Formats: sequence, structure tokens, C-alpha cells
Amino acid sequence: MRVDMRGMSCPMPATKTREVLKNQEDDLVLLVDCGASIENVTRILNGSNRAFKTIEHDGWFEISVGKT
Amino acid sequence: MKKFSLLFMVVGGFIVGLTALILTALGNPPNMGFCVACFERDIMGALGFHRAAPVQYLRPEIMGIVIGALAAAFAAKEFKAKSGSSPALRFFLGMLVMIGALVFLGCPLRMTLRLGGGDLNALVALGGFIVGIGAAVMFLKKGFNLGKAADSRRSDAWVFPLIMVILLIFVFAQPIFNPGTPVMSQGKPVIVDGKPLTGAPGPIFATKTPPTEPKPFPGAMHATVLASLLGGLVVGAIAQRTRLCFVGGIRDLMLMRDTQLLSGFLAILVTVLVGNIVLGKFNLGFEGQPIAHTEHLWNFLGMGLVGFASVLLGGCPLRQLVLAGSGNTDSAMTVFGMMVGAAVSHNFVLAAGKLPATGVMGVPGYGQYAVILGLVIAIGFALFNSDLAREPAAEPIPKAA
Repeated sequence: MRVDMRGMSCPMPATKTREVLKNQEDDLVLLVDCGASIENVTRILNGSNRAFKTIEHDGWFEISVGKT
Repeated sequence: MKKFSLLFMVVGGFIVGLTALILTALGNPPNMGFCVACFERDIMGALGFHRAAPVQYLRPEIMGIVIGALAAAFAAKEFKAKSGSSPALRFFLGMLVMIGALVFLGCPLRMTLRLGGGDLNALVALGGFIVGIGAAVMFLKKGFNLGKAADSRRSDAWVFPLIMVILLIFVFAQPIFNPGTPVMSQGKPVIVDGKPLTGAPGPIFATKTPPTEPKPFPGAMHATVLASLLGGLVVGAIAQRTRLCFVGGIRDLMLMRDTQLLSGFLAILVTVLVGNIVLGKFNLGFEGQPIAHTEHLWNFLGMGLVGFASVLLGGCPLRQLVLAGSGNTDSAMTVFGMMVGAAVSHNFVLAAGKLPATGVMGVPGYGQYAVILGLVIAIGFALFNSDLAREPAAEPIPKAA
């Protein structure tokens, strides 16, 4: 599932991330564009024990989240 | 990574607290080393947008915060032109934040500084602040949002920093735009004691304390321009890097048990508390606190309005300044709203101050109405932008075939 959170202001990306993580979907891709949000989302993912990879694009980030 | 960012936050909070202590020692008003709401209000007074003579001064701290945040955002490649998330609504909510803050007499940052100085009225206000944030968090859980922002033009993002640069030029150049217009009557200047009667010169206005006053007016108390500017630059840069936000701290704790932002708030509180005790300026109690009043209900509700509306806006007044300096024009609109709110507060006598009837500090009647009305309106906005009663979104304009 691809969740485009670009343009969302705090704390929406953080709450949205927690919401979609609950569904335990594989192949989760999160798109985030604000500096504070990328840190929040990274902190949540660190606490969720799920592997993830962050790719930086021009002014936004793509985070691929793996399985539990 | 996690430990590093927490340490960074605590050190950042320590430096912000220390800067506030230093600026107070250098002449800023007591328990007001920094106050985003009060200082924006002072700037509006200096520019003549309100006529409360005791609170008129171009505070370089505000310009410093924005320029410091701008520099930090550029260094981190985070300066991005963003706009379009309900700007008019944010402007109005910014006004409400300011009205609430000036009923309490301080933004969340000054509330923390007042707590650190032993002012228990700030503890009452903190109670209201937490309740306000809690109520708004309930709306966040019900899907409240003000819509997505979109990429904007660079020149759009530069408007707000440009205004700050112009204000900074005013600080150094000290221009008097109106030397005092002659008062005319039936086409002829009015002569009093052989001299033409004129209005007071200005803007730029700067508060002077009359010799009959026992205490200096807040607007007449300030550190030197360079110290204020430097303090602002430091706090702006730190706040940009750490994402320091007083509303965010309590919100994130309630919403997702995250204590990252809260630790910055606590670091400032501890620093100021220890600093005041060491300097012998700690004075525990409700009565006789500097630039404060003891009307508990209005301290509670005023800061409750600040907490509630700030959660809807996504950040406290300090955070709005920092975001406005990072290219977010929705936050710039919020700051403009706060500034207009400051002018409204003093023009219509909503702000707390010395009440003419009693001669003691308190909240004027219209200020009390304004806080209640502000809460009702803000709750209405929260309701209509959540899943409880969402307004239908505008239909996208169909593309031409």
C-alpha cells in the first residue's frame, strides 16, 4: 500500500503512520515531505520493530516498510 | 539515533532556557526573557497598529527567531515553499491564540519561564493549556485536519522573511515616519501657547516610562538590540533543528506516548528554575508576580484557548514563527493572524492589564467575552473539519479535454 502524506502538517503524518502500521500490511510505502514529520515517522518505525528503508528524493522522502 | 536526538533536544532546551535568563538579566522584562505573543504585540504597538503606550517596542528577538530558523532550514536543505492548507482559517485561529495568550499574559514559552520563576498563576494556566490540548487531541483522533498544503512559489515563501528584514532595518535606522501632523480646525492649524498643536510623532513608537510610575513599563524594558537579535537567532536556529514545540510536547504525549518534544519543554523549565534559584530571583506564589494577574479562571481559560487552537494549527506560537521562516506560508498567515489579534486585543481592550476601576492587574470584561466566544468558534472549526461533521471538500476543477 502506498500512503502519500506529502503536504500534511504535523501531527497528521505521525498519526497516519501509526494507523497504517496497525493493519500489518506488507509492501507499505510512505511518502513524507516535512523534516519534522520524517523524524516522527522514523521514530515510530524504530519502535515498531519493522525493517524500513528511506530514499531521499528532491524535497521528499520515500520510506519502504518491510514485514514485522 | 534515538538517544542522540533526545540529547540534542535537551541541550537545545537548556540553551533556550539559558538565553531567556541572559536576556532577562540584560534588561528584558521579568519572567519574559522570551515571549512570542508579547513580543509580537510589542512590535504591533511600535508600528502604531495598537495604541497601548506601555507595550510598544520593536523586539529584535522575533526577527532573530525567523532569520535564525531560515538559516538553519537552508543549512539543512529544509527551506520549502508550502502553502494552501486553509490559510484564512489559520489566520483566524492565530488571532484566537493571541487573544487567549494576552488574557493570560504570555505564550506557552513565557508560561514555562513564569513557572520557572515560581509564578503559580502559570501553573493554573498550564492546567488550562493541558485541558485545551486534550480536547483538541480528541478532534485529531476524529480525523481533524485543515487539508494538505501544496508546493508553492519561492517568492511566496520569501514574503514573511522579507517583512522581518524590513522590520530589522527599522530597528537599526529608527525612522520617524510622521513627525506629528498639525491639528487643523476650519482649515487653519490650531495654535496653543503660540505653537501649532500637533499629534505625537511616530511610528516607530518606543515605550517610555513616565517618571510618576513606580515600576517601568514592559515595553521600556529590553536588552540591547544586538543581544536581543543574537538571542533570537540562537533560539530560532535551535528551535528549527530540534522542532521544539510546547503544544506538540503535550500533544504527542497524549496522542502517541511520545516524549521527544516534551523533553525540550522540561529542559527549559529545569534550566530556568535552577537559574532563578541560583540568581535569587525565584519567588514562589500567586501574588505580586511580574506582569501577571491572579484571576485563576481566566488564566485557565485563556491558556486553554491557546492550547486548543494551537493544536488545530499544528504548533505553538514559537513553532509557527519557525515554520514561517522555513518557507511555510500557512504558518506565515498564522503569525499575521496573531499580530492582528494583538492589535485587536489592545484596541478593543481584551488583553489583561491594570484595570482602571480597581488599579490592579486583571482581565477586562470584553476580554472574558472574547475568550468564551473564541473557544466556541475554535470548537466549531474543530467540529466542521473532523469526521464528526466534515464540510464537503470542493470539487476539483476538471481538466480540459
